[in-house]
Formats: sequence, C-alpha cells, structure tokens
Amino acid sequence: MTAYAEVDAWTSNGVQVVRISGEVDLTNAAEVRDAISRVASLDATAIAVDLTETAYLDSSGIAMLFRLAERLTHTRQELRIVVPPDSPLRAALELTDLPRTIAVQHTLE
Amino acid sequence: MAGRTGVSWASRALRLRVPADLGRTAAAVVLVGAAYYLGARLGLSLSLVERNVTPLWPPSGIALAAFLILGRRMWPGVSLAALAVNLPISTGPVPALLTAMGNTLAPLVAAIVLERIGFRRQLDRLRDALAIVFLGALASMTISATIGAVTLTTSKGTDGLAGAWAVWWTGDAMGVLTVTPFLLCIPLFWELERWSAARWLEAGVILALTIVLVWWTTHIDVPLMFLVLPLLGWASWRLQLRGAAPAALTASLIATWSATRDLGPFAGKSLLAQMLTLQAFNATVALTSFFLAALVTERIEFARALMAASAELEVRVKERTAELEAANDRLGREIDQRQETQQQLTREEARTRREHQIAETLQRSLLPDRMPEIPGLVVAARYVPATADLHVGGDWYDVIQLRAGLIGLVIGDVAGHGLQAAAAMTQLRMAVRAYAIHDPSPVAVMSRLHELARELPMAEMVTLLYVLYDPDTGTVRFANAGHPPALLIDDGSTQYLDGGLAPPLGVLAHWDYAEATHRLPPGATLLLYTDGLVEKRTLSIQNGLDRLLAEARDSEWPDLEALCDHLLSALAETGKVADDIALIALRPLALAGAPLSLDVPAEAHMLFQVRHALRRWLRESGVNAQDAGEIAIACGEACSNVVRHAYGASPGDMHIEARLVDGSVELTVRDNGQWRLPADRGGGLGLALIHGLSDSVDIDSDPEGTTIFMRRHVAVGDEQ
Repeated sequence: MTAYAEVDAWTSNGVQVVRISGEVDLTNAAEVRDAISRVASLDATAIAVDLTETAYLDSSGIAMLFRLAERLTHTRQELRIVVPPDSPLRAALELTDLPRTIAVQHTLE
Repeated sequence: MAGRTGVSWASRALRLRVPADLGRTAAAVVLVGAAYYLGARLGLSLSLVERNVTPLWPPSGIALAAFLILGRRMWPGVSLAALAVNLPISTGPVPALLTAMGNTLAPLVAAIVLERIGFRRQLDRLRDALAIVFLGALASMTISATIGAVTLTTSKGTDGLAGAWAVWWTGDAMGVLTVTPFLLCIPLFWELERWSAARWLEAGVILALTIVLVWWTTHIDVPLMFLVLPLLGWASWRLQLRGAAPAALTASLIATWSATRDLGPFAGKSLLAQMLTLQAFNATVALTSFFLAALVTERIEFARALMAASAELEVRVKERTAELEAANDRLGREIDQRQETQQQLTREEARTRREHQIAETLQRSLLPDRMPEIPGLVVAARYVPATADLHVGGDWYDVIQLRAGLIGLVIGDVAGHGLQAAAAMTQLRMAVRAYAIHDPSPVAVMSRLHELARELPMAEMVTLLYVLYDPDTGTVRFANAGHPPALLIDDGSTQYLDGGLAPPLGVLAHWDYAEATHRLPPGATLLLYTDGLVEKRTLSIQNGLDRLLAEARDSEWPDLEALCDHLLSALAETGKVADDIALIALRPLALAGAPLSLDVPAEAHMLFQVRHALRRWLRESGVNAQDAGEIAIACGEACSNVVRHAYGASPGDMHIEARLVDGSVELTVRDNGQWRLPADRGGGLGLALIHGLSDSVDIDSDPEGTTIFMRRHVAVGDEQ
C-alpha cells in the first residue's frame, strides 16, 4: 500500500466494506481507487467506503469517489460513504455536493 | 683384559726405560769405539809412508757421524778408541793421550758447530752439504791437526811441523768428507721411503760400475780417474745421498788403496804429487756427489712442496668454490623467497585495499546522501569511516518517512568489518524500511528484525536503535537492541533515554521487545549515534558517555549541522578514528508564536509534508481541530494546483506562509510559475473547496507568479 494510506476490505451482511486508513491526496488517489476496485467483490450489492479512519481527503480523493460511484452503477452496485459527524472531511464532502449523489452515513450500521 | 695387559706392559716399560737406555748407550759407545778402532786400522793400512802419512783418516768421519746420529755422549768410545790407536804408535802415554784428546775434540766441536747452525744429517739441502764440507771437515779438523802435529813434532823432537800439520789435516778432513756422508746415509734407508727393487738394482749397478771403473782407471797409466764423475752424477741425480755416498766412499777407498800401492796414475810419482792427485780426486768425488745429491734432494723436496702446495691450493680453491656456490644458491633461494613473500604481501594488500574500497563505497551508497526535507523538522547526520588502515565498519543510519507524518529514525552497528559487515548492514537497512512501512511501531519493527537476524547468517552482533517520532503528538517511541542510548538535549539539559532496552538483535532465541515513550518538545534535539563516538581505546565507554553528555549540554547550537560538527571534533580522535562513527540528530522546530514559513519544491510528495507542518503549527498555535482540518484541506488544494499547473515539467518552488491575525488564520500560497486557474475536473473541485473552506479568498496572478491568499476565522485555545 502507499506510505500514507491503507485499504482493508471485508464483507458484512452482504455489504462490501472498504476501509481507507490514512490520507488521500493526488499522489495516491489513483492507487487507492485501484485498491478499492481490486477488493470490491462483484457479488456484493453495495460497497461501503469507510472514511472513519481517513485523516485527509482532498479533491483528488473526492473526484475518485465520484468516479467510483459512476462506475458502480454499471454493475448495479450501490456506493455508500461512511463519514462520522465530527470528521474533518465532512465539510469538504458537503461542499462538493457529494451527499446528493452518494449515500453518506455516519456509521457502518 | 686387553686394556689391563696394555697398562701393565706400559708401566713395566716405563720402569725399565732408564736402565735400558743406559744399556743401549753403553752398547752404542762400545760399538762406536770398535768402529773407530777398525777405521783407524784401515786408515793406517792406507798410509802412503808406513805409519806416518795417512791420506785418509776414516775415524774422524766415523766419530763425527756417531756424534751426529747417536749423540755427543758417544765421546767416551771415541776417546778410548783413539787412545788405544795412538798408544802403540806414540812415543809415550802423554803424547798418545794428547793426540787422542785432539782426535775426540775435533769431531765433537764439528758436531756442536753443525748442530748449532741447524745442520740436517739427511744432507738434503745445499747448505748442509756446504756446512759439512767447510765447517765439519775443513775448519773443525784444524783442531785435531794442530794438537796432533804439535804433539808429534814435540814428542819426537823433529822439524816439519807444517808438513805434519798439512798431512794430518788433509787426512782428517778427507776422513770426514768420504766416511761421514756414507754413515749419515745409512739411517736414511729406514727413515725415508723404502727403495723399490728397481732402485736397489740401480744402486747395485752404479756401485759395481764405480768399482770396475775406478779399479780400471787406477790400474792404467793414462790418468782417466775423472771418468767416475758421471757415475757419481748419475747416482746423485737418481738416488741422492743414499746412492752417491756409498759410491763416493768406494771410489775414494779404491783410489787411496791404489795410491798406497803406487798403481796406475800414482806410479813413479813423488809423495807430494801422489798426495795432491789423491786428495784432489777424493775432494772432487766427495764435493761432486754431496753437492749434487743435496741440490737434487732440495729440488725434489721443492718440487714436492710445490706440488703439495698446488694440490692444497687446488683443494682450497675447490672448497672455496663449493662454499661460494652454496652461498650463492642460498642467496638465490632467499631472494626468491623474499620476492615471493613480497608479491604475496602486495597481492594481499591490494585485495584488502580493494575490499576496503568496495565496503566503503557500499556503505556510503547505502547511507542517505541527503536528509529528507521535512517541514517543521530539522535532521542532520554524519558518517566518519574508520581511518584507512583499519576496516570499514557496519555503522549506518536511516530516516524513514512513514504514513500520517510519522518519522522513523534508525541507527545500527553491525559488528565485524569489511564486505560481510557492509552486506549485512544492507539487508538490515532494507528490512527496517520494509517493516516500518508495514507497521511502524517499535515493538513490531524490532520483533521482525529479531526474527530476521535469527534467520540470516549475519555478522556476529547487531545493535540497533529504532525511534518513531510522531510530529502530531510531539513524542518519540523507541526500542533499543543493545545500542548506546539516544541523547535528548532540551533547553540546555541533557539526558540519555534509557528505556526500551533489549539485547542485541538475534543473540537470544526469543525476546519480548518493549518500547519506551518520551516527549520531544519543539526545539529539543534527539541525538542517535554509534559507539565510535563514545568509545575510545584509552577511555571507558561510561567515560565517553559522560563526555558526550557534557559536550552536548555546555553549548547552545541553533544549527544542528554545527552541533554535529562540534560533537565530532570534540569527541572523535583527530586523524585516527579507530571505529567508524555514525550519528543522526533530529530536532522539531518550535512553530507556535511565530508565522509558519515553508519553502519547498513544487512536487507532489511535498504535499504531505506541507499539510503536516501546517497541522502542527495550527495545533501548537491552539487552533481548533475542526478548523485545522479544513484549513489543511484548503491549503492542500492550493498547493496541489501549484504542483500540477505552475511549472509544467520544469522544477520550481512554492512558498507557504501561515499567520494567526486577530483570531483568523491567514494562509498564503505563492509560486513563481505561470498558470491560469484551471476549469478542469479536479482543479474545479479544488478551487471550490478553497473557496468553500475559507472566509475570503484572493487570487493574484501576474507574470511573476501566482499568489493565493486565504483567510478563515478560527477558534483558538479556550474557544475549542
């Protein structure tokens, strides 16, 4: 994985969970996206990208999430983003109107 | 048994020696006396005038020979015999006694004189021949002639002293000349080398020819007596004294006998003429044979000595040559050996030097050639290899930038030197990096390194200190495998961080590593080093540690590079580094209370550093975490734009400045490139974020470059 971020994946109740720990910027956004694509099972009806452990996510990362959501529509899979209410990312995500396109939830459950 | 017999025999011989000698001497004296008497009778029978004039008086020669061969103690025999001879022919006992005395004295004096001058009775030198003729015969016999002639003329009352003296003297001298050499030659037959049968035959032939020739020449009227001389020459030349003396004696006796019978050349001659002829013949025979014999002997001896000398010289030359050859061989071998040793040394030296160079090159290439630029953090490092004659060690250090802004610091020492140590160091260095990226915690890194060290055929011992610095919390976590402790320099006080200690890597089969934690406040310095800095041949390591503590405490070093230089010059032995030294120093800069100012290359990997320095500054300035996080994103977007658009492919710098003014953070990002605000995908999104996360944004773009100014009100300190 990259020096800044790690990607873990597991399945929970038919949902493919992908947790991003660390920081995502333009140096590693593409790698993180590839990593998610690799781990995201085609069988899962929904993919939940967990940003709870993500300390930093800039526009490159947000753009990456948009593209991921767009791609998942082809496989009829749903993308969800998990962001805690006190996350430093929340403001940025809201500024980009992401919650209008992608389902954002506070926790995995 | 044989030994005892020998001893008893020897002791008996010793006891009997004196009487036996006496007996032998007495016997010899009697024999000499008898010979003298017989010689006298012979001499008298050869007188030219009855009982008066004797041309040859053999007793004188017999006496001298006896003294020379048997010793002067033979004189009683000589005296008594002389008395016995003279008594009947003298006028009375007194004249007989006087004459006998003269007859004894003359040969005695001759013997004394000859012995005095070193006469050799072998007559093998010319000087011996001369001595016996002139001293033994002519000079010494004047004594007996004088005493005898005076006694004779006085006792008989006759005149003619001179005539009597002359006859007496010539007779005695001729007796010595003819008889003495003959007698002297007799012992030579067993003293010198034995004659072969051929020699005996040759001698016999010569003697027979002499007798025949002299007999013949003395019985014819023609004076041919000199014909015997070649025969004597032959005898002298071939057989020397042993051949010449008997022949000469024989010739003289026959000639004298012939003269007494008035035969051949002597017939009808006057007494004087007979005397002259005979004495001249006898003298010629004697002188010819003895001189020639002596000369030839001398020559033979000389030639023999010369041959012996040349043979000896040859032997010595051969020996010396052999010695020289041996010495030469030895020298050659030594030179060869020395050359071989020299070559071996040279090869060994070259190999060592090459290995040293490789090891040093390897080591240097593995050390970071420059410290990473980490905003808000200063790092300095030094590596000093051991001096040339010693080997390169396995010291190394590393700085690893890890996720979430963590910094891993490593310093290690592989015991052993040269290529193997350098190779082990390489493996360890890469392993630390790999393990730290995977899980940066000190315990995890150490545990994995321990397992690696157990698996790999490492050098004898590896000490290693791993420090994980977290800029966000301002703390260091560390674990230490047998390495000298890190030194913390904080505000003029110094202390060693002793915790987290474990044995050197791989020494024990298993070890539960533990980590220690310590605060590393802004402005404080953490120093990691290898034992070369504190260990010296003359000082204990504790002493070195104390000195390092003192040197680091006593001085303020705002410049970390200068601190490193100072410590090296103060602690390392100048010009003679026994063990290599590595050291690395880390100092977080104090950010709070002053504007943050960063000048970094406009490169993607710097984005991480910039936002971490900014976050630290914000945190230390007391800015609320929510605000800080969002300001970091806004700043990151501005910097990303610079990285992506300002310089194209060419390198450039960016300048980031942050200040806290009246409860607001003012953030400036400036570059010297040319770019227009992009409307592309990420760019547009980024700009939206910049605007959205700031209270006000001012973008100023001109040919000199672009400046983005952002302001945002923040909650500080208690407001959090």
